[in-house]
Amino acid sequence: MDAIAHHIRHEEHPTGLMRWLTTTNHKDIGTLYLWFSLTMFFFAGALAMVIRAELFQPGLQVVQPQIFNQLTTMHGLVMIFGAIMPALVGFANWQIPLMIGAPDMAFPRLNNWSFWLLPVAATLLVSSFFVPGGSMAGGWTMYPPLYIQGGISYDMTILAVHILGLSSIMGAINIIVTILNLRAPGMTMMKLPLFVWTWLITAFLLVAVMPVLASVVTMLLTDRHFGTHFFNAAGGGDPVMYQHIFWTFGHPEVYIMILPAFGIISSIIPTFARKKLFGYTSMVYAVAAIALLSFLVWAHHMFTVGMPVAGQLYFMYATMLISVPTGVKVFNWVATLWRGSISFETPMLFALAFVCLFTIGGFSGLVVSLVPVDIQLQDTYYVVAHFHYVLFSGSAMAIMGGVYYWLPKWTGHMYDEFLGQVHFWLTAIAFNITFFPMHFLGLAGMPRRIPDYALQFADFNRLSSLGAFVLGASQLIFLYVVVKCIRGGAQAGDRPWEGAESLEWTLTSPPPYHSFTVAPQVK
Amino acid sequence: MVECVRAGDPAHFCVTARPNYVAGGAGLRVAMVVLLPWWGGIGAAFVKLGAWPVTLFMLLPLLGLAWAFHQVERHAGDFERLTLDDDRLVLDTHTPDADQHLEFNSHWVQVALYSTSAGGGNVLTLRSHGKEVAFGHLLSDEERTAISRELNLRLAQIKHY
Amino acid sequence: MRLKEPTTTRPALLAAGLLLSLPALAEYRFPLNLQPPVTIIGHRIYDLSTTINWICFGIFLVVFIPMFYALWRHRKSIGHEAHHVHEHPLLETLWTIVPFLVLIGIAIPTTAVVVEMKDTSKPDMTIKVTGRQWKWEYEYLGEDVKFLSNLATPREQISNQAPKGEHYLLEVDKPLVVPTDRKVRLVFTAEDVIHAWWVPALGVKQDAIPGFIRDSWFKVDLPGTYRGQCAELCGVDHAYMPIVVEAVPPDKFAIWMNDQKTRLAEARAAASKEYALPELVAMGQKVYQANCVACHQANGQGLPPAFPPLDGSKVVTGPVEGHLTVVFNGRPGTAMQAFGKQLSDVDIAAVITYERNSWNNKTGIAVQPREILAFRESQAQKVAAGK
Repeated sequence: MDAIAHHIRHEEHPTGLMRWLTTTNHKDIGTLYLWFSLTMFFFAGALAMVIRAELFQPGLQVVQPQIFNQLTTMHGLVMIFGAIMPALVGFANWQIPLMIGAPDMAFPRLNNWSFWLLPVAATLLVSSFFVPGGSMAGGWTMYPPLYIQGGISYDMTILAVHILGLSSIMGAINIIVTILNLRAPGMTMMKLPLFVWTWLITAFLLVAVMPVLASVVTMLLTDRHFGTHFFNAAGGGDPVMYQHIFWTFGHPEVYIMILPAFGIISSIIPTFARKKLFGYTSMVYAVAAIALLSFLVWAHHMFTVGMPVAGQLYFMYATMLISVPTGVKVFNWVATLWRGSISFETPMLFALAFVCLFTIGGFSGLVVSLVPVDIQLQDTYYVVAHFHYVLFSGSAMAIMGGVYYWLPKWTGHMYDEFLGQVHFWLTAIAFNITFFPMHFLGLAGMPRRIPDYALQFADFNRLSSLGAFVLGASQLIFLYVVVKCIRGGAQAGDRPWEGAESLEWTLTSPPPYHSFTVAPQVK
Repeated sequence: MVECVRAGDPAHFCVTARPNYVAGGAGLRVAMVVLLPWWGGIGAAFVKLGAWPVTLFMLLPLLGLAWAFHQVERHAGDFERLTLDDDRLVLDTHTPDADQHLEFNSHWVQVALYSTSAGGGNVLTLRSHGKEVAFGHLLSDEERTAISRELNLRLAQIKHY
Repeated sequence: MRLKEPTTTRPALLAAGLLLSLPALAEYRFPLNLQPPVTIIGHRIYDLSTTINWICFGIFLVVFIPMFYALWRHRKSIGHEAHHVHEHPLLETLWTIVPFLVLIGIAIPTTAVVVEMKDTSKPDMTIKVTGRQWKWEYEYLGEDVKFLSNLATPREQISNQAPKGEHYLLEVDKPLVVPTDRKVRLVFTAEDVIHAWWVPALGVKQDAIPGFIRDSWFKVDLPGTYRGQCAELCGVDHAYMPIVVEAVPPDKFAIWMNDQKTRLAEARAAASKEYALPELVAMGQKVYQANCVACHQANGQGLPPAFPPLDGSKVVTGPVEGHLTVVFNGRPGTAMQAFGKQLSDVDIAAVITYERNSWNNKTGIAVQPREILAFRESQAQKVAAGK
């Protein structure tokens, strides 16, 4: 017994930093993910502020083109891999075990590793700004041959992408196993909250495509240093093949970032409409259909590369098809609201803004799915507007809504409703001022990824930059509200939202203090 | 899942925790039915194009997933059981690698619940004679909290006899 | 009271005036749609884009009018009770099928345009477009006319030391000249990285990919000057490689083409001439401004470590042979390009002379075009021997 007791002694309640380093508890790891994400959100957001400052007027004022390219590249890379994906994994860690009645994730130790790989990768990316030649400047898509020209930071980026990929894959395996096998008895698949369903499908997408990214950056690395010619035309390689492989990863990646957001919205809307989610079954099938189609449409990012007519037509039709299941989701959300008993707390405001603005992003997606129209809009600010409508007013605003929704559960305190609403309105308005004019800029012919532009684009850019500064500053309110809520506030009670029905709300807030002694019953 | 058996008196109580294992082997089969055609199709296409590393890399997470399901299956029969029987408190744990049987004196043992973080995580331990053993790997934080409360209540009653 | 009246009406009048002038203002300062097209494909795209935007706007209203109605009338604060309906098979089927039908309606006309825009057969003339960091090269196939097209906007305008001109960043030293009413086929490739040739008014955007040939076409209706930019991130000066296309009537085009041929012949003659040092330095400065300044900077200090300084450089102040080799063949794996293929002998001689006699470099050596020609021939022999 001595030996065993001694052995166990080592792993119990470490304190200080060690406790965070060694924690295997899904809630603690969820919290870590969310804080990491928020940090990266502010970092990448700060880069965006410099970008918008440079674009405030024509000419070069704030940064030189080389730095500007580094900023746009790192803004994209860090927002995607550092802010949005980890935030969604944070939600998964916190909510999935609670929602399915599992004690924890299937592999708590693996879960810990998945998280702690992220700061390593982030350190690599951030420190690459300070190496000779500056950070990677070839765009987050890392297209060769441009990528082959880069310096040491390009190798650091490849390493960081590998680490991020490994983290995502381990996380995804953990989530798949947890959802499939660790559900409480009685929690059948078709009773799973939609958030769990979206994450299950997302985890499958991650397992399917993250290795594709890892392999393609490995090939870049060997092309750079080990004399291979996968993508080097001079050596018989094919730069277009890179794009095919990259977008085989890249398009499902888009859905990796949006499907869990759908799940969050599908949790919030029924709660504040005080009605069950409309068309649960069709929602599940729609998510599965979107995921399946996401594998089949990658080359719509490559319409200007020059494909045979048949290829362009196929990818156009397949892409247009995605709007059917996406439409089903939007219709179901609207039908959930219909004849509900609706109230407008901060999470609900974010969810409603999501439905409207994400739909605008969906429409612009439909516009660029048409090959001839995409020929004009590919690589312009129209595309920048499009993916910010789906990623900021889509994913990021769903994440913010989700944070307001579950903060009372996580901390046991209510957040400041007034400040939450101020944050919402500033974000929603400033977002539209920032990004809506970009549609017009793209239509008028402004290419993306340029530090300087022709005079006819000046007025919209100034407007856009002003919006961006307000948008950036308003996020400080978010930080303040979150910190304030953690430090105290009105007691949240078991069910701060009277309309909330899924399993996590049958536990008290914060979870550890009272609880059920038998496994949760699923009605 | 947790099973609690309670006798009428405070001195008899038994709690057993087992991992949930609802889908059984079907979990892995479902995962592979979804992923193998994708791997085969895309993998073959990329080999043909000369990008064979893609196919190789794509295989790795599939192996990882198979390993993970195997681990879950291997541990499906694990359990942790805490039995309060008058002046004995017995802790039995079973894993494929080791079985453990520990006995404590109900009058001396202390049940402690440590909060590991502000986020709500906790650890439940049994302490006696300077030794400390964790219990509840297979329980959620909420269940550990509930059991520590119930156990403390019962032990207090035993000590007052 | 009376005195106050004007002060209240004046802002109102002003506002009304502003409102009335808004459409005009919008068109001038806030362009809201694609640039006016001048080719058949451009028109098709414009119409498709307009149609799809109206369809989207229609769907938006169909979806969100009910939603906002629900948000207004089904509020909890006015005591609305939830009606628990969670399924409606007919409705759910309808909102799957109807969008599908709408999509088919959009797909049919779009398919026709795709087929039409990809049809590059039977061109009246073919121009080869080569993208380089950061300029375009145009070659009229079968005409032996070939030239580079560089950004013409002075660096002072970019760094805000001079007021910006009307066509800031959208002006080049030598535009691509094409005849109107002729089907012009463009074949695209690139020397170094991927670029994209885009002129919105022509409805053409095509990536130029190293090692590969892609094509596209246009037929301009109206004479005029049409401007575009590189649309694929291609490195530091991605923003500074514009495209200008001048469409002229066919008869004027024929005159232009003849003129080009005469000038080329003159340039060839010039290559055998002997130049004085100041003459070469003056010509070289222009070449340097167009080709070298982005990386090596006007003051020759470069942007180390990616772009090394030329001022005091051992290569520049050392033997001519070494300097020439770098300029001619570039440095593989860096942004330093092989200018041997891009610049004429006179230009190379001039720019090398300029670099060797500028800033603190005072070699006093004038490199003559015939030396470049000799080097060019020796290089060709080396390549031939290598094979």
